[in-house]
Amino acid sequence: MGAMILKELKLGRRSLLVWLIITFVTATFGALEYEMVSSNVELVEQGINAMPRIVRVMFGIDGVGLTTALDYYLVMYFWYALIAYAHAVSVGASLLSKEERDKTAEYLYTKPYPRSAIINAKLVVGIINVAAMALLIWLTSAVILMPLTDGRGIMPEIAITTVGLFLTQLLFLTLGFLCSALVQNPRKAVSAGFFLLLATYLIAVAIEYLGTVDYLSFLTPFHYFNALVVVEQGISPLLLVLSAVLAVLSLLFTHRLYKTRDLLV
Amino acid sequence: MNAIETAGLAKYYGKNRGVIDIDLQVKEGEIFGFIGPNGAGKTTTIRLLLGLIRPTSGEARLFGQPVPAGGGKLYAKIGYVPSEVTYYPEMTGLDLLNYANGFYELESGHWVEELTERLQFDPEKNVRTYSHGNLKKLCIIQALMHQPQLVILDEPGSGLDPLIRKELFDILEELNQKGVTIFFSTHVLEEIERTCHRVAMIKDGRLLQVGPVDKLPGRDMHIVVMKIAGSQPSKVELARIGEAEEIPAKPEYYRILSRQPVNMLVTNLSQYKLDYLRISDPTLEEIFMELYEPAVKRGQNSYV
Repeated sequence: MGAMILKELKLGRRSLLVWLIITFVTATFGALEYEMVSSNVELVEQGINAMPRIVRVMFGIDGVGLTTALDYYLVMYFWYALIAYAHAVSVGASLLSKEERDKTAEYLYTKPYPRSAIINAKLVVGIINVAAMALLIWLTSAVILMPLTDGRGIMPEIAITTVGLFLTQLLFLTLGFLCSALVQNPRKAVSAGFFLLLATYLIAVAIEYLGTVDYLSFLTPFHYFNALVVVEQGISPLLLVLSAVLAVLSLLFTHRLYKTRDLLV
Repeated sequence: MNAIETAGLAKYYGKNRGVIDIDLQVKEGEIFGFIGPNGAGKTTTIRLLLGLIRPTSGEARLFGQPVPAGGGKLYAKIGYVPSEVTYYPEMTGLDLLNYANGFYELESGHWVEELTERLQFDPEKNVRTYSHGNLKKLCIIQALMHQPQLVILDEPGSGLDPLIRKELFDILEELNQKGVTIFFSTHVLEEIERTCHRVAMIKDGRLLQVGPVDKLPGRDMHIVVMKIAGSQPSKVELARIGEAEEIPAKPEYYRILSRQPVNMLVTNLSQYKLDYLRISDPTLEEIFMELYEPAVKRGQNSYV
C-alpha cells in the first residue's frame, strides 16, 4: 500500500504543483490589491454596490465589508475555496478513473490486492493532496496578510476558516470518488465531478440570494463551513456531523460499486 | 484439481453478446490453448477469469475458489499478460518491476534477472520510450516474477520478434515442467501446436470444441496454391483434389483446400504442368472458415 501511495504521489506531483501555483498566484494578487483596495474602500464599495445583487452573491462579495484585513480575507477566501474545491473534486474523480482511462487497470487490478485496498490507498493520496492545498492557503493567507493587519491578529480566524475549508475539501474529495464509481465512462468522471461542484455552487448562490434561509444550508457543502458564519459562530457541530456522514456514505458507495463493477479495460 | 473451471459462464454487454455458456476445465499442470478468430470472445473469457469484468450468469473458479468480486489474495497465484499493454508514464522498466515487486514482497531478484536476460529486455529505459515488443517483454517479466501457479496470457506472441517469441514459449514450457498451469489465447496455430496439451476453440462467443491438439479439426487439411501452365483444368477435374477456387488477382492461379493424403495429393498434382506450387498447413482462419462458416458465406469466388 505504501508503494502505491508513493507512486501515486509521484505521478500526481506535477498536477498538484500546477494547482498550488494557481492558488499561490491568486493569493499573491489578492494581497497586492489589498493595498489599493484599503486606501480606496469607499470607492471600491460603491463599485461593488453598483453591481446587481446576484453578481455580488456569485462572487462572494455580498454583505461583506472591506474595511479590515479580516473582511478582505473573507472576500479572498471565496476564491481560495473555489479553487480548493475544484481541485478536491477533480482529484477524487480522477484517482480511480484514470486507471481505466489510461488503460493501466488491467495491470493494477490483477495484483493480489483487493479493490477496496486500492481505493483506500488512493484516498490517502487524495487526502495528502487536498491537505497540501489547505496548508498552502493557510500559510499564504497568514504570511501575506500578517503585515497588513496593523497589529490586529486575525490568525485564529484564518486557522478556523482553513479547518472549515479542509473539511469541505475532504467532502468534495469523497464526492469525486463517488462520481468515478457512478460514471462508467472514466473520461466523464471528472466532468461529472465538476458538474456536481457547479450544481452545489449554484444552490449555494440561490440560497444566499433568497436571503435568510439558513435551514437550507444542508443542501450544499459550500455552506457547511461558510467562512463568515464560521468566523462569527464557529463550526456548526450539526453540519460537521452531516459532512462526515456524507463523506462516509460516499466512500461506502464507492467501495460497494467498485467491488462488482466491470472495469473498462 | 482444476486450475480453471467455468460453468455456464456468460457475459452480455446490454443486448450484445460477449460469451455464452462457456464450460471449461483446465487441469493443474496443463498447457491449454484458447483459439478463435478476432472478436470470438477470447479476451472477454480471460477478463471474466480474472474478475476484471463480472459474468452476466454462470461461474468461474480458479484453483477451486470462485473468482472473487473485488479482487484479492487469489491473484498472488496468477500471472497475467494482457494482449495490449499500457503502463504508467514517467516510470522506468525497473521502477515498474520494483513497484510490482511491492505487491508480492519477493525476496530474491535472481529469477527476474534471468527473465530480463533471456527476453533481452533493458529495464533502465522510460516506459514511454519502449516499443510495443519491449512493453510486452516488461509485461511478461512482471507476470512471471512472483512464480505464479497459473499464467494467463492473451495473445502472448503478438509484438514479439520470432526469436523472443521462441524464448517465451521455452520459458513457459520450462515453467510447465515445474507444474505451472499455462492458459493462453492465440489465433496462431503454430503456437498451439508447439506447446499445448489441449485446446479449446471459440467462435462467436461459444465454445465449439475442446480436446487434445492432435485431435484439432482441420489437421488433415492442406492448402495448395499453384499456377497451371497451358490448358486450364475444368472445375470438375479440380474438385477431385479438393475445394478449389481461382485467385482473382492472378490468372491461372488456383487455391485448393484438400483433404487428400500427401502422396495422393502430390500424384494428382503431378498430372498438371505447374509453373508454381506451394503446399501449406491451413491457418486458423482457414480452418474456421472450412469447418464453421456456412458454405454460402465463403465468398463469391468459390470455384466448385
